[in-house]
Amino acid sequence: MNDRRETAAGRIMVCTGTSGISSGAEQVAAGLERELDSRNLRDAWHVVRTGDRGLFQDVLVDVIPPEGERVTYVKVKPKDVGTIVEEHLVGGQPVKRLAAGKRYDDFFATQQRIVLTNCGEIDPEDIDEYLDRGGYDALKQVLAMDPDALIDEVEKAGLRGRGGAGFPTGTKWRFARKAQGVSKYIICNADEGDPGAFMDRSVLEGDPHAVLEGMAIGAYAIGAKQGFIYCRAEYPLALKRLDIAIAQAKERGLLGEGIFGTDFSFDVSVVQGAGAFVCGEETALMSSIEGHRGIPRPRPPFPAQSGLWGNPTNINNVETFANVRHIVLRGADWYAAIGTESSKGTKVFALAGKVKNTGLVEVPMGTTIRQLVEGPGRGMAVKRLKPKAVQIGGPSGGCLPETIWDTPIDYASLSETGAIMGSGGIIFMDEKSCMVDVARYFLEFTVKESCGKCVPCRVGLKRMLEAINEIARGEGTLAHLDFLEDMAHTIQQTALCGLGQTAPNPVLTTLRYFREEYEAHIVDKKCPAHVCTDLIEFVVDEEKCTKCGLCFKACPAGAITWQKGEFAKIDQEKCTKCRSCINVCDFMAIR
Amino acid sequence: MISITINGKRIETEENKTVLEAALAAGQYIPNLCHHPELKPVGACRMCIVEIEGLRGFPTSCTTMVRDGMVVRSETDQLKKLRRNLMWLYESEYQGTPPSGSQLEMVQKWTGTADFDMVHPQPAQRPIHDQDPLYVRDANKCILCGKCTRICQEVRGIGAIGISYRGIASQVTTAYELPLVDAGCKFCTACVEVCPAGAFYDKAPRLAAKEVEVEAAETGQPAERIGVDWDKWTKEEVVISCQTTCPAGIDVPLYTRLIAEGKFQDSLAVIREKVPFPHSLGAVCPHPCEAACRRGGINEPIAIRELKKFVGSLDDGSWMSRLTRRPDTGKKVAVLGSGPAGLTAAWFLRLAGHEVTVFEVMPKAGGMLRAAIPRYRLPSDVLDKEIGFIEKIGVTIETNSSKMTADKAFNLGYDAVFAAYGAPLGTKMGISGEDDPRVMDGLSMLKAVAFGQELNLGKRVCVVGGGNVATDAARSALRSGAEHVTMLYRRTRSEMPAFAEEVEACLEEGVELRLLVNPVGITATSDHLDVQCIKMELGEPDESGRRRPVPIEGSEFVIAADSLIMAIGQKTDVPDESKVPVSKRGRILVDDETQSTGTPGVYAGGDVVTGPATVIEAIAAGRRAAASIDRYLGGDGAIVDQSLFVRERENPYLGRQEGFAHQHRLEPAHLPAEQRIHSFDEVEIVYDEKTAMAEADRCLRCRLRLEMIPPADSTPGSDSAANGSV
Repeated sequence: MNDRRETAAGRIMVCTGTSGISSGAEQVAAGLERELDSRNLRDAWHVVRTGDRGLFQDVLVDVIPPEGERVTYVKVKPKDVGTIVEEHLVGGQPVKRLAAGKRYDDFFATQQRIVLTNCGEIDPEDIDEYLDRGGYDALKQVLAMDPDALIDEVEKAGLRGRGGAGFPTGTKWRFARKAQGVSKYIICNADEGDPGAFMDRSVLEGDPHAVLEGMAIGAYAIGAKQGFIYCRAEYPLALKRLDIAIAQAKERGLLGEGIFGTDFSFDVSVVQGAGAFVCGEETALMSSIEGHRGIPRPRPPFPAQSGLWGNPTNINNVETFANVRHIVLRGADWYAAIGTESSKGTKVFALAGKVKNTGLVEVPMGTTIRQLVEGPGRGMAVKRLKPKAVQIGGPSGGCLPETIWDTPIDYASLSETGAIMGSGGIIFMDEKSCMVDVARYFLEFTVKESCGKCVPCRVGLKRMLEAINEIARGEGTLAHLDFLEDMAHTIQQTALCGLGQTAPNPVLTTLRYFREEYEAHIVDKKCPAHVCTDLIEFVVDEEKCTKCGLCFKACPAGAITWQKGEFAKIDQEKCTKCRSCINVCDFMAIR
Repeated sequence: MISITINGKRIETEENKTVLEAALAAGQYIPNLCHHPELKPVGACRMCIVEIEGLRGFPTSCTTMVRDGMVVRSETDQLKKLRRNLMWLYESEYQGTPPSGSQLEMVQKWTGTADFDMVHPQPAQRPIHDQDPLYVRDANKCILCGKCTRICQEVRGIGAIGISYRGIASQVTTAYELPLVDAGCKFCTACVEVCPAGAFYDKAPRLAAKEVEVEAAETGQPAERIGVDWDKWTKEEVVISCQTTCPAGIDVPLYTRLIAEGKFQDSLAVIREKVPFPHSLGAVCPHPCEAACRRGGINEPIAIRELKKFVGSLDDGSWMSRLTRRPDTGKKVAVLGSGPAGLTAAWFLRLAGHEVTVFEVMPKAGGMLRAAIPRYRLPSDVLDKEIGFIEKIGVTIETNSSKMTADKAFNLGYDAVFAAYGAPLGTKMGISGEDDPRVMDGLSMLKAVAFGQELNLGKRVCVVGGGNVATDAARSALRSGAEHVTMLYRRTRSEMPAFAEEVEACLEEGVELRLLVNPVGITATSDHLDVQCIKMELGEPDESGRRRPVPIEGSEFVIAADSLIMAIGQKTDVPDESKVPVSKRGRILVDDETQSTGTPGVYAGGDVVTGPATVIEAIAAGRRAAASIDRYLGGDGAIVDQSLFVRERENPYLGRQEGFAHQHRLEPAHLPAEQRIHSFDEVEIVYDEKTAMAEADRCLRCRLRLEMIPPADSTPGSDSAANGSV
């Protein structure tokens, strides 16, 4: 597809996923091309725009000279381009000050990249780069297999759905295979909606063919001829790269009629979602593809029996499909050896919150929460603040205290804690986060995203949110906690779909692990994390104040007076309770 | 058949049923709100959750299919608690209390409500759509069961309403929140029917009739509550108000639909089940049905009379073969008078197998239809044809007969008598000079015209009165050579009892309308009459509710005329020797239900009982009398309720029709005024097929709502309800 891929002696890779682009990667890539042009070196170096590799807020550039070692540069700015070309490409000397160091190495050291193996390594818009790395070999191999044997293999590998619920993929495929229907469909759920989660986006942007190949293999297994990728419209780059990938795969005969000369035919269409969180729920998703309002319906019947337009349908998540080719190529035993007894393989997590390194990491199942923080995360962002909790699984997940961070991340263990695996969003919090506020945040999200079909979710979550708001305002009673628990269980047990059934989890887990924090709001009328505005006095605690003056500088209202070496003072008349001072104070000195 | 166990009770059920359906059918109530037998299950309301052995959690029984041997529990402590909490959630967003008798109220009674008084729900304020015709949508009472939107989409195929917005903001709306008339709504009101919570409800019936609005303006009552005693009507009667208001109870919804479907002879047969004069009624009926027609609440009512006339005009007699005719009984009935009451009674009595003779003093049968209604409204051949059918089944009509009484008839060997003498005498005003031969009453004048008698009205004719006889007389006078016709009426135009279209026709034809004027005396001269008049003004309302006209002193003036017609009323002419109870006003007193006079075998009906009234009321009385007389003669009276068309359940699908609510009533063409005043040719031109079908298609099909499968089995039976559990 790209001549220079074969002819150029050297290779330069720039990570231009959504994250890279927002940090300026496109300017760096274009600058590199201009610089090479101006020096007449363009044909000697193949500039490749890859997807993101996972480490965020950095522009990563990799130089792979024809001879010599690969060098990774971090935090590259457009002005650095000339230096890299001059010193490294022309001069043969890597630019030491830009080269990746321990922070980069730590981030990747404990990862085991299977799903993300191609992300940041290949040009997702060039099918040849994928083919060079064994792309579509798995599909070719599968087409010589009996579909039942293929399903056996996937079952044996122990692959479970990565969308959140963790249903065994092979079993799901077998249901769909056995189902009778005129046509069958296979759907890739790329409606990633958890706040702070971007695993699927990165895979689609960085390695779209892996998903297409996984879908084709699944389609062969269940007997589908048509696939749909339901991807949210907020992912324009993923959509663009999917379109390119599908077109290229069709051009090469890897999608369409008679794939690899067999009688297997498979086509894929991309359907754009309009941003409703609930459309990630499989029945709502299908309703949306059918052109209806995206609302869930009760199961059974399950999609495998009656899905899209009433036909047997199999739905898997992006990450699940991206795993499939590796299982085929390297075998079920290899895959099953990774992870724990109940949870095989790896899981991609979107690390966010108060850790030093944020970004996308892929680790074996069974890695503990603490290993995540201390490994790729390189520890908490602010050392002097105590780590407090981690939110796993987004709005459907739970909030787990630091005391149980040694819990291994696998389906069974997480379930015991009250959280869920979810799709992989993981947010670390320190003592400046209020657990009542966290519960409120997720409730606000689910109240907004409830489709409104069933009363427990539609009204119940709203009533819970109102109760939490009363607590956060200092108007709560201990009976509010009984109400929250009672209503949370009612919603869990009576809501129609997964959104509603799991929406109370953040409240239930914070109540379970941080009950005393709720009680502080109710009984003492205090927010220990200094977050709930109505319960903050906005006075400086001189026992904690280090006289640093950060609060004075941050106050937009001129309400704080401070002089070097003196305690800050807040003028209550002028204070607007904007919390700017609290945000900058790492000593919890404003209460 | 398979068997399942519900709450320890084993029940047999068919496969392909949901657990809820099976339970309800077996009398095991499971509370539910979003289930409806005509709709696909959606599992939205969560009330019908159950526990099923071998299944996790609490599946909704409306979406779970039965399996042989399934063990279901619907009233465990856990389920009860969950339902109480769910009901609390419903109530926390519901404004007011559920209407009594509503499904929501019943479920509420069954489940009870949790008590969470520690929290303070803040229900959203939602709109009340009360500006649309026929029904109100109050989003504050909506529980979002979605039955309204689903019935509109799945069953009716219209899709005028749907659920908009998401989550707590979800609401049932039209597309883009357009008014219903612009959103494709066909006002079948199936949505109102299925609403379990009183969020959709009917507005009070609105009558389109002019009188209603006048009365409303005068009495200050809301227009929609006048004319119908709404509180006394059943829901069914309100929904099909066209049929309810028809004195003869004609199946208006059905015959209108059959016209829309192009089944004209079937439509005619439906009308003929109740009346033997479809075409004549189509020409002259005052159509109370149209005043009640719910379509009138949107724009204009269906032209029901016009449609009846249309099918009446196509009458090929094919319905005759469908008639039920009882074998001869050997009993003889005398019908005194051949007006619509008499002939209707004769018709049904003959069908019942009795020998019927109708005695008519005039030279031709038809009564007031013949003598009072001018030919340009009801052509002779129409009447001849319809009376012909009556004779065809064996009714004998003796015209030019001497005046008969019950006694005479019994003496002649008749077993029963139906006195339908009518109210054939016109009345005069009792003012000076009215005995001049050039002053006549309206009925005499119309009768003379009807029977082709010589009339010398002259060029200037004055007609006194504001009713239909006055307009008939005025228009007939024009057609009999008068050059200038003046109508004098003592109130204003809006109080005129004549049909609005008749008054309009008078004006089109050049009749001068002088309102708030009353004659007080007549001075006859050799070549003309001087009619002394006085101007009037409206005072306080009288007992009829209309404002009483009061003379303005000193406003006297004179109108010169060649003749004067007093069309101010008519009275009965019951022979003195009739031996029936008669009121002071000369009307025969009868039992309202049976038309019996109290004298064995003697019945009466029509204008002779009611005073001057409408053709359709006379026909209704004739039909009631026929039933009573048949019973008197040993029959069962059922002949008056015979069916000439096999009813089947209507197709509930209506489909979308853009602009449906905006389709205006199709008015029939009329002969041009300048042409029609020179002859007695029929003025109103009957619809062509296409127009008739299009007009009939405007019908809202209100009755479909009554044909919906009632969710009767979804209400708790009294026994189990009393226990509160099973």
